[in-house]
Amino acid sequence: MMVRVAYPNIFDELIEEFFTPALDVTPTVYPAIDILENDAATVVVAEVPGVKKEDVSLKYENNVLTISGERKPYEIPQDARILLNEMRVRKFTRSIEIPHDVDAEKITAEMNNGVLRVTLPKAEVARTRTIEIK
Amino acid sequence: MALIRWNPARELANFPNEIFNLQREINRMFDSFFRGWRDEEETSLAQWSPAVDIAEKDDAYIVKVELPGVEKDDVKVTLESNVLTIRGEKKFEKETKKENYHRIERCYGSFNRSFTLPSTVKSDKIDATYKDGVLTITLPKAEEAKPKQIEVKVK
Repeated sequence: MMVRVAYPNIFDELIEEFFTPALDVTPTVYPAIDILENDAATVVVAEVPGVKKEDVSLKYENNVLTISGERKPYEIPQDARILLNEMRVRKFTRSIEIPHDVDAEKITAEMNNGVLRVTLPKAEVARTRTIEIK
Repeated sequence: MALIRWNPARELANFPNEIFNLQREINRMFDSFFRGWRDEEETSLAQWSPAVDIAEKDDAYIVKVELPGVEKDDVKVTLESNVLTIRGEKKFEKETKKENYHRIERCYGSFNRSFTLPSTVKSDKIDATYKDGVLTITLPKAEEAKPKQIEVKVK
């Protein structure tokens, strides 16, 4: 028996582990994301060029952030011929597990220059604290 | 189809092969993962290429370039003897020193793409707009490059 997984589409569907760099760094995963963490929050940055704000939906549930949406085709004049077509028009979904508790009420998202930026503030219990030794 | 008596010993004899096959399969999967990863890393360290769409109308070319997160001032579009070049840089900016990156999939650094246009364009009428991370360049064709309908009189 051969176990052939249709990588990466099947991985798109799965909840991605937080600390798995090498496997996911492939040009076929869409959209490309950066994840960074600071003392106050985790920030997920996704590249969604040509995607309109209203075509993106965000969901946060059980510590999993799901970014999904659709890259719709742009309008081409009727008499135009396509000479080159590299941009991908497609639906997309990515789910990212956030490794700390999140203050879900305070999640913010913004889109600028084709980049989506979701800030997930850490819940009070998850924040880094400096403990003084007495 | 004939019925064959099940022989556990034969199954057992095949077992190492099964394991080897599985291992080979896994190795192959890993090889392709890492090949993909290495290629990707090389391109993102050196240069990356944005995705481009080009459409041709009777009177113009329309070039679209995916440049998410690139500042308008960091893109340069030039036209030199029918060669259109789009170059620039996507800068990697850390906001504060106190942040850790868990994953970086986006490509950063300089990019450069050139296209030879099949016909001459009005270089002074080129228009470029940047919206939602997509740069759209419209290049109107020069008069002599537009298709003309010539009526041929048949005698």
